Amino acid sequence: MADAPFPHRSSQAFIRNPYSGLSIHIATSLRLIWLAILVVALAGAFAVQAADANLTDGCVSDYSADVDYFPDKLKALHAVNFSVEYANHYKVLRVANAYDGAPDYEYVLVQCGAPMPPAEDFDPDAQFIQTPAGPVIALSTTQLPALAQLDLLENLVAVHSGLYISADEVRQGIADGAIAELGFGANINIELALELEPDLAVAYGINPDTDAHPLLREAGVFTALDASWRENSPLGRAEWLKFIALFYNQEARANQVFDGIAEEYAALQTMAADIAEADKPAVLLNSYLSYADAWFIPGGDTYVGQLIRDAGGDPLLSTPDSSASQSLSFETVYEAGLDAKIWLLETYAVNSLADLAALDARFSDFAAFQAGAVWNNNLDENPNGGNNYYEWGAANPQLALADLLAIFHPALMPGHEFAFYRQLPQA
Amino acid sequence: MREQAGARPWILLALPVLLAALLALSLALGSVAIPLDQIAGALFAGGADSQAWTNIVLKFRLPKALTAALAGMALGAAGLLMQTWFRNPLAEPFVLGLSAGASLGVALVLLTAGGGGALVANLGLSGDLLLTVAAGLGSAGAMLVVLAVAARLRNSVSLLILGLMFGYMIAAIVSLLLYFALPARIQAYINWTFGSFSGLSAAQLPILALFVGAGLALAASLTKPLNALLLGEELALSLGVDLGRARFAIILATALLVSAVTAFCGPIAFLGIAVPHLARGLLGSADHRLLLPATCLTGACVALCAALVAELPGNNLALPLNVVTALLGAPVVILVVLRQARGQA
Amino acid sequence: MSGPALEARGLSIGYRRRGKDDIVLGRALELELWRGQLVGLLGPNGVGKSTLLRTLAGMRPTLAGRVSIGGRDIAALKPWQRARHLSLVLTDPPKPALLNGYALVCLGRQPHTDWLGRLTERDHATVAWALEAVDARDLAVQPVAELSDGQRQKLMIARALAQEAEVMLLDEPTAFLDLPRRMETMRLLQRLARSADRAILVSTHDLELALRACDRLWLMSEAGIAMGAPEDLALDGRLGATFQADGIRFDHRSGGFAPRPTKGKPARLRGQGKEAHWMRKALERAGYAPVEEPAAIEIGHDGEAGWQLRVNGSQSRHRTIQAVLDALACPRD
Repeated sequence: MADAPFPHRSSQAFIRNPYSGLSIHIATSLRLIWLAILVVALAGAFAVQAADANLTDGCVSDYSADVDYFPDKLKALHAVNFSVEYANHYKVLRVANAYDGAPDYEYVLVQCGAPMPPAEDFDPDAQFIQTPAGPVIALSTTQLPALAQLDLLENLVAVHSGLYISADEVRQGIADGAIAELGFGANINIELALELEPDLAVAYGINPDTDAHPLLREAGVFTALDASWRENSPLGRAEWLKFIALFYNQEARANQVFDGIAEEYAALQTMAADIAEADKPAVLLNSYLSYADAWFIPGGDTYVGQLIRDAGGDPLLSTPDSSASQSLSFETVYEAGLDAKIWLLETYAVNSLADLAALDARFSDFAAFQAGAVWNNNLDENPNGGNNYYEWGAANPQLALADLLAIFHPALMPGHEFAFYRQLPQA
Repeated sequence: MREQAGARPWILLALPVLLAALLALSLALGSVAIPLDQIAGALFAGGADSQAWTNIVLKFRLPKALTAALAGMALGAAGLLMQTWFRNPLAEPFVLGLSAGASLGVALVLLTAGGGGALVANLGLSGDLLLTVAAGLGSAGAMLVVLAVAARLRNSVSLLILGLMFGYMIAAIVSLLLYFALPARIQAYINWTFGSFSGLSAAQLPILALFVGAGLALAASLTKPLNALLLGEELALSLGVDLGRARFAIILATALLVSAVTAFCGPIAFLGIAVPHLARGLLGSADHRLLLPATCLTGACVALCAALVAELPGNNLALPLNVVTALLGAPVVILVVLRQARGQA
Repeated sequence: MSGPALEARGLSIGYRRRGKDDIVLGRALELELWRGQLVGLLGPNGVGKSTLLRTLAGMRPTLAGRVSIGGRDIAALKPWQRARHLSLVLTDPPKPALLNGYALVCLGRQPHTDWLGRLTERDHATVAWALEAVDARDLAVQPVAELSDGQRQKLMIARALAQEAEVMLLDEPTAFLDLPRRMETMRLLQRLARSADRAILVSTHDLELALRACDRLWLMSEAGIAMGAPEDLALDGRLGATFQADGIRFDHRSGGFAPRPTKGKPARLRGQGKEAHWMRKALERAGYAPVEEPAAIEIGHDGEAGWQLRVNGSQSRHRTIQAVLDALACPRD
């Protein structure tokens, strides 16, 4: 459920983001523009050699077939749903498993100023776009942190809706009218989208009959599908910032940002790696949904399952190598989970143990409840209930991992400041 | 001659036996395997060997079985009232828009950002109890609308159409709320629409029992006019039925039964429409003095069966209740339609 | 017997409409129904027969005037009190599933039973008597839904009888029945009015049957209601006036309606009896004018030999009426 592809999940913690802040963007972009002009001028002057950096602004003025225009390359290390292949003046981006039963999508990203490669070399359904791209429509909140981390937010012209977005710059942009709201799924306002003259739209797919992406494509907008929410690995999900970077020739920047995240993540993982099996607390997940008559327990290989295991926890009742969730009866979880040390929730509007007991009085029988060891991931919510765990958190799994490590093994994380998890108070 | 050929009044003796057996089975079976002597211990000897087992029997299986039995009785009886009153075999308790009203109440609580939810939360309610109150208020509101309209519209068909239109309007409002809602809350709303017998605590059960008891008592007092209504409203009137009063009592009884069940268990589909047909088939008589108790008992049995099947004993999985009731109920409705088509041919 | 079982004084019937004039279907009506009498209510479609019946039954409000039953204003009675004095049968007998004939007739006892509708021995005896009275004992054990329209209508009448109300109103009870069943039903009502001492008002389209079975007729037209013995109404022409329409005339002899005679060729029809009766009808239908004086066409029936036809002196014999008509249409020279 947490993995649902809905657009409105996200992060307000752009504040904590070192690369953000509108003034910084502008200054940086100005610098980049000058740099680009210089590079183009140099390239024009000497007219042969391989470029020494990707062109993040402007076009090639004097194309040569022998020049590798993408000296900075990237590769998906953890993500499994996208891959990229480089040629001298274009790159082929492929997205798999964008939704259940989705075909493989192929996008050809051609260096601006270089000739279009012949269409017959590619999938008949492939879409073509020139890089670096300009205005972008981002239909999932999970794409907003990537745009911020890559310093590309100034290109953002529209989102689906500002209601559940946490990022302050985006909320401000919507309030100022600089960023448009287009609506959800197939109800997207296509006329408004076209008026914004976007170079590309990044959408997500659930079911093509109710999604926005077929409509955008039909209207002639280059539309790429974001399958990040289908990644089970926390780092794989964060790695989709590289996917955004490809459209802007920002490979170098993306590698730098992602490597930083991966390093932090690995460091935390190493801290937990030495913990003996016996010291790993049994972690009860989610809660019984009375009207669903089920208690959903994610498998060990799901996003949250991996986070818990990486943080030195033992997800209770979870099927070890499964990347699916199981729906169990309350009885089963009750018998197995009564003594669990820690209880993690992903439940909206539960802010205290009293709230939890009001959902079902039987919850108070659990040892974790009685010990007050119940945590909900909704510390950072926007006024409409949009949860930044699903926005900034999705792009920064090291923050969620640090939270979990501090919950499971507080001694390892003295003075930890929680980003997403809140320990439920009595009332 | 007085005994109706094909009628099986003895079914009224057989059904309680079946009900008792199903209740016992509901206590004995579940996802967790508990030995029979331990179940008996939990029930009668003050506790099983393990506290978890005692709690599972007393806090899970017993309330759930009783809830299922009560809800089945209530929905079956309400369905019978509606089918007789509208003289339509496909009428069901929800045609009056009661569940639509309940769903609006729940949607307002679950789906509005800070709106209705905060309003009711200020009353000191939260969680499932909040949903119960919201659904109860929603269906009570719908009932008031229906009663007000029933006082003006003499024609039951107009009322039927009105109830349907009312339902569509509310469905549209709920869709609108869903459109702007957070996915986690959409999920919570969708879960509510699945229906459940297992959300009730031991403290809530008496409230449900009170409403269902009152509704059934009112329904029992209506058997005579209901029998007359088999001939249609005009002839019932000529037989001395006070139509205005009967209409009011039927709507009130249905509202008591359906609102309470919908509030505590969500909108449980198909029991209301299928159970009366099943009971008629078993009993072989349309005399409400026998048919009403037969429908209640059949409803309780069917609901317990559905709950048992949904739980998939011996398995960890649980199916949404409405999936099971629809799979059990739809064939019954299909059978009725086919039979009628054959009767007309 | 002190007075009429049901009477209406200064009665206006029709529909009230909000903000518009009332639709009045009859005004200042003075009506009486007496025990022991079968009264037929006749009138063209749409004249308000059903509205009158429902107003008399207390199911519709009057526009003016009052209806009283046994001397008491019907509007002041509660439904269960009314049901003890007045029973009703409608055109389309209901088809309740899973109810046998006996249970259906038992419903007629509702005005007399307790809140649960429990039947006493006396109730059962009355039900048995009612079934007997309509000659439907064999239908008692049968499922109502499987019976024919006529059989169900019989049971509905038995149910009305079992109600033990002195007034019985029937709204076109024979409309869906075939001819023999219609005759049977009207005869039954005629018998019941006398033997069970009921005041029965039956609306019908069936003029011929009504003329034969009813003690009195109410002829309803836009002008009002004409009342009297059927024979008087026929003789003074009011019957014909009520149903007048182009191309149709009231046949005083047969007591039915027939196509208005066209100016056809005269044909002399000799003889009496049923053969002559049916030949007359056939000739009228074929456009001839049956006469009794000598004419160019002469037709006679002589027993075993069949029909004898003489056209302008040439004679032929035919076995069937159809053959006679064929011979008239294409005369052989």
